[in-house]
Amino acid sequence: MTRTKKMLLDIDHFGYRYPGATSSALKEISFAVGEGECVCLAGNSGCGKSTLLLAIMGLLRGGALTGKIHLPELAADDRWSCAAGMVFQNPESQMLCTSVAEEVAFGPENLCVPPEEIGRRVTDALRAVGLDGKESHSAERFSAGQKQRLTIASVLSMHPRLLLLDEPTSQLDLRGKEELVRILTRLKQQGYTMILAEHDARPFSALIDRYLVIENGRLLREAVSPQDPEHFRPRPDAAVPPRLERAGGSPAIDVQWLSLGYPETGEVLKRIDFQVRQGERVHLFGHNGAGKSSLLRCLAGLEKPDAVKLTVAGLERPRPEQLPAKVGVLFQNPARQLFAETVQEEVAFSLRRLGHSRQAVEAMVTKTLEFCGISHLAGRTPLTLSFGEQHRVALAAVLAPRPELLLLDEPFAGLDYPQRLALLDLLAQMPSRYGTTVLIASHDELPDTCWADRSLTIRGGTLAENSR
Amino acid sequence: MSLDAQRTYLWHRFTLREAVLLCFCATFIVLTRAGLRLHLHLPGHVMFFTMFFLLLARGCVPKLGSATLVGLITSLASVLLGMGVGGPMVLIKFLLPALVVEVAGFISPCFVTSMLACAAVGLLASTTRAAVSTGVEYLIGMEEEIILRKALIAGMLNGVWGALGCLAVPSIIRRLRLNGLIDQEADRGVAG
Amino acid sequence: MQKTPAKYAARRSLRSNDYGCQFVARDSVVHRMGAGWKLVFGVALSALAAGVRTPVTLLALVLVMLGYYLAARLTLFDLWRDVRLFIFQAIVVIPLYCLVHGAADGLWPGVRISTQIILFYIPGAIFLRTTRSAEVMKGLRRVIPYRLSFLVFVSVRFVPFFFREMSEISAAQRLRGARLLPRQQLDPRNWPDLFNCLILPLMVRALKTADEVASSAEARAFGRSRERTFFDAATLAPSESPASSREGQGWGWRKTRAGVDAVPKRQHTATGKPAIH
Repeated sequence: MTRTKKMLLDIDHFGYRYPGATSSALKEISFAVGEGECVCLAGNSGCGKSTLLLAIMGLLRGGALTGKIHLPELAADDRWSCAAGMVFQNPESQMLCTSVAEEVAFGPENLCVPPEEIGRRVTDALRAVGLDGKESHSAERFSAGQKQRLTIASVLSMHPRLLLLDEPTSQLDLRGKEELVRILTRLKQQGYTMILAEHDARPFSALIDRYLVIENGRLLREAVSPQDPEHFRPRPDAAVPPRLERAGGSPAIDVQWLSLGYPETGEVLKRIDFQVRQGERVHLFGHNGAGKSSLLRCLAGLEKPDAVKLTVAGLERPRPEQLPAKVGVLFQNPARQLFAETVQEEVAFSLRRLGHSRQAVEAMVTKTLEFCGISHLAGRTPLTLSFGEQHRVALAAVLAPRPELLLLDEPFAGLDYPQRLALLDLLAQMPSRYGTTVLIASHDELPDTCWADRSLTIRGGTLAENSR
Repeated sequence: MSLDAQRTYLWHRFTLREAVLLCFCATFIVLTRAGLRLHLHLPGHVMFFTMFFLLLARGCVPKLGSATLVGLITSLASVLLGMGVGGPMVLIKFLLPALVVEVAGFISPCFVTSMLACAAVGLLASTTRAAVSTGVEYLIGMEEEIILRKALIAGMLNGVWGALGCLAVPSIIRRLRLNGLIDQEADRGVAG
Repeated sequence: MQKTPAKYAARRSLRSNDYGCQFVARDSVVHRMGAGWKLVFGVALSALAAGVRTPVTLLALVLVMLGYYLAARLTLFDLWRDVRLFIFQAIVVIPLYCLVHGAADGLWPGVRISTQIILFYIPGAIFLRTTRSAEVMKGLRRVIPYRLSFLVFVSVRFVPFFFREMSEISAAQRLRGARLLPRQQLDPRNWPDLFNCLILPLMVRALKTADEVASSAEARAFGRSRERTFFDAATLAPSESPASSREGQGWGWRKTRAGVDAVPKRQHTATGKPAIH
């Protein structure tokens, strides 16, 4: 950072405590951002990155604040720009309008920009993110990557001096991430100043000028290189339990000639053929839209595909109501299924429905909580926990009945790297401890490439085995 | 230095967050109406969820005007989605029950925590809905005796469904409060 | 052709006209009429329907309504679907009249009243079937302040979002053993499952989403000033896609050229409403 560069953002000993919180979310943060720079706020979940971005935007309400944030100054006659624009994590809840053009026009409308100027800005913003030509489309059918680009366009149309992005890749697969990196590189070349909050900034490494590592609300250090790759490598001392060798026995999953199609989208799964032996750890990899979730839904009995054979945990073509004891399914964002008053009750729900006695239920719940490492949370209300803890509770609730087969659809969404590793560790032990077969479907490589016994790729509705 | 609390956005009392939450309650009413109409064709059963979400909205945003706002948004959204046959009547159909909820909230701000109170409000509010059809029938020139009998049947059916729907409200409110997701205090808000 | 999976069958039937009077994309005199005129005309017809008393006038009105209906190029099948909503009322009214007055004397008044009820609501149905939601939205914007119209549009825009959430939460809970199927819900003993396992998580999602929506809107300066511009997105150089020519049956609306390219380029701001703040 050179002293001659114009400072757009200057943060001076900034601290913030949320209303009703016992400790501060941010403590004594000080740094400056020059024009045209791209700065990355790195750190694990809960470190305060998002809070800092909200503070820069001026969206924090209530609570106690110390220090100052100096934003870029706008010219007196420049009523139609804004100092900073923010792109949030979840594009779905950011989109407020039904059509693309309306969405991009929303910001300038709020600034009372005249309609002709809005028209120009909408066209320019959509071109900048590669969505030109789609003005009249409905954003509902867009992929996650396109939706995220639309939200960036809706911020660009306000001509912000500073662009803030809060975990923009959290919902994106590899292709989506590449598109986003391309767009952001283009924006940087056009002179935009960006602050990016990411726990895994590797895709953006070519773009980022500086890294600010934040931990527990404090700025730990500044760096010009990305976090040590060692940080991302699985711990060498933690060995993945060996593959479970089990001769004979019926397969946990037996699928032959499975096809699934919808009237609107055509064939989603084409003649899928695969078997999974009991006790195996399988990774199903595929981009968004390739058919992973559809396949998992077929296995869970939520879809009715055409198939010569579909046997799951010994059940032929099961309906979801038959599965609680035999198959456990963890969908994306599992925290949204929590409802009980205590973690204990939450985990006990399936067991009670299966008709176990009260003592048996209590014993199984205690063992499951211990296995998942959340015994200390037994009496807490699930919805007051952090996202990572909620994730673990949802997993425990699914594991409690000791299913023979465990299916996980995008289990890593929203988790940072250490949490992902911890989850994989836990799942790695399941075959040897309980004889459970585990299948993970994700659009990213697994954090620990040694975890899977087998790796399958689904592309365009067809399945292929990856050679190890 | 402490930061200001949320800026009020609508009617001098609702913050944007509260207003959006209320409009999601309207979304739920619309969704459940559509869903129920598809599967069942029982008369009055749409009041089951309509009253539930009206009372839940009042419980989540305990300010005067929250039920009215939900009723208003629901009626306009219904028209937008092609569900509001009857034009301006649809507005009255949702505002009348909402007004009953408001009056109940004015008299006893914490009524959402009592099952009995919720059932009573649900019963009363749903029967007012039948009053709309009664008004139309009067205009059309139906005999008063017939109007009365029809109103009785419709009112009873609507009322029973509405009362049943509201029984679950206290337990949901309690759990949401337990989890710290909604505020405990009932605030009357500024009138007007 | 694959058997339509349950999820998509439900979604498709939600998109169908079964639950209401969805817009029907045809070109007719009525379709081209302005929304305001249609409302006024509709109210007048409904008032006539309320006032008619003799068989002759009733028949005349029925013919006028049929004419209006057919002028909108709506088919008899659409008519049946709309009338179906009020059949229940007729089913109750006619026997009631017969009960009170006896079959002979009660039949005519019963039939008259039932027909009047149907005729009262038909203009409203025609309005909904011939007016694009985009036009209704534009009309709404002119009449109610932007702070309220924003809420209405957001509530409609999130209908498919919460529908998806509902199905996904329901699927996850069923796999844990919750009894959420419609036939299981016929038993009132399973209603606690519905409220605890489905509605409660849905409300939690609604609370979180409300936070995110409010942040997203405030981050884009929404609500900061008393006025805001109204930008008519149809005035942009339109880009054609095969999908965009299919008009909004269902939750997502797509602006089409047909019917809106006659709209002149507008330059106005949505002022004139006193500040609601």
